[in-house]
Amino acid sequence: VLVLVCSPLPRLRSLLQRCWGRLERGLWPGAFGGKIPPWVPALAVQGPSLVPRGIDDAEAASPQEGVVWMAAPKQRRTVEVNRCRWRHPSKLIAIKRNIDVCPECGNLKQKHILCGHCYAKVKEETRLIRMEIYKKEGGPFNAPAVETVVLYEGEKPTEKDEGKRIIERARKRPSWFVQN
Amino acid sequence: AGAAWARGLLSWARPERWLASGSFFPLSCIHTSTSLQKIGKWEKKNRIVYPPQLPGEPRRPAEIYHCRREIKYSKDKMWYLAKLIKGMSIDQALAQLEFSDKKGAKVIKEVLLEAQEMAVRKHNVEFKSNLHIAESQTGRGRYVKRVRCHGKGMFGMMKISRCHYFVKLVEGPPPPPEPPKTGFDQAKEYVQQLRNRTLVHTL
Repeated sequence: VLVLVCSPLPRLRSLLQRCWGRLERGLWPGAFGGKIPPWVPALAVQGPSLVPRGIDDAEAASPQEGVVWMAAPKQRRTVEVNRCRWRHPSKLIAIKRNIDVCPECGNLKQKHILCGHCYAKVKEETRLIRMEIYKKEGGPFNAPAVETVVLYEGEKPTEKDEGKRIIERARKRPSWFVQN
Repeated sequence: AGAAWARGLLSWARPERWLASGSFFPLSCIHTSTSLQKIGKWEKKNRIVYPPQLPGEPRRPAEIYHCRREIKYSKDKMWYLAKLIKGMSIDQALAQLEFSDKKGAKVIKEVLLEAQEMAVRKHNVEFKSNLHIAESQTGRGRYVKRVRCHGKGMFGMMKISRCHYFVKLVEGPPPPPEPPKTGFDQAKEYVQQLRNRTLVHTL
């Protein structure tokens, strides 16, 4: 019968050996109150090879749910690292080099886009002309099947405007609205 | 030299810093709480008055400080615009801001125009185009936390952010941009650092 002695101390080990010897030889009858000892000596085994692994059990127990380890940041990103990303040259606003001066009004305009000021001016005049048309027509769906001509103060309809509808505007002709 | 020393000594105790205008009695200038709660440091920078310059000194360029507080915009997004116009002349800055699609561009344009007008009216600037932007910064305004409703009865807390914008205009053409550092300059600096080393804890 082999006894597993775990204690490294030699005195304790010798004491345990003596106690166990007495138990075996029956010189200690009152050890377990006359009954069978709850534990019996067993073969001592060395090594972790037979230790049950919790990981295998856990994975083998629930094959349906396979555990997926999600990606998570390990360390907090410092403000210096964050600044390098926020202030990278690709994230800064690029300077626009396509800005010119409008030759008509002198405001700034982008090269490939109409001048905002001139466009607003034309839009306003168009709105007033449309109001005159609405007053003449009187309601929706009354547009005649002829062309329209806009005449300003002091202008008479010419021979070309024979069959056309005439819209009067009570102001001087603007310089940018060229008369045919 | 003696006059300059005396001027330098009393420079910390300049009462003009605290006086709103050139009034004589200091007690009448104590602001009570009925007026603006707290005048920020940037607004006070416009109040400094330098002593008259001596005939031989080079002309000190005019500096105009202007700011706008509690703009409903994010300070990080506003920072990109502030970085864009830093160091430009005021005309170029106004042109860039006019064609920028960002919300803060409109606000900064108004601030620059106000500052330009202030410069011409109050700060004795002769030509309104002869200004450049020396500093342009953003600051954090007061944040307010609010509930943002998600689906399924869930909610999150969002913060409504505001920012301040500060600008300093200086008279004169904009300074030329610094040339990028070449490898030769870096090597020279390195050699100089090596030469500056001394022996420590020795005789």
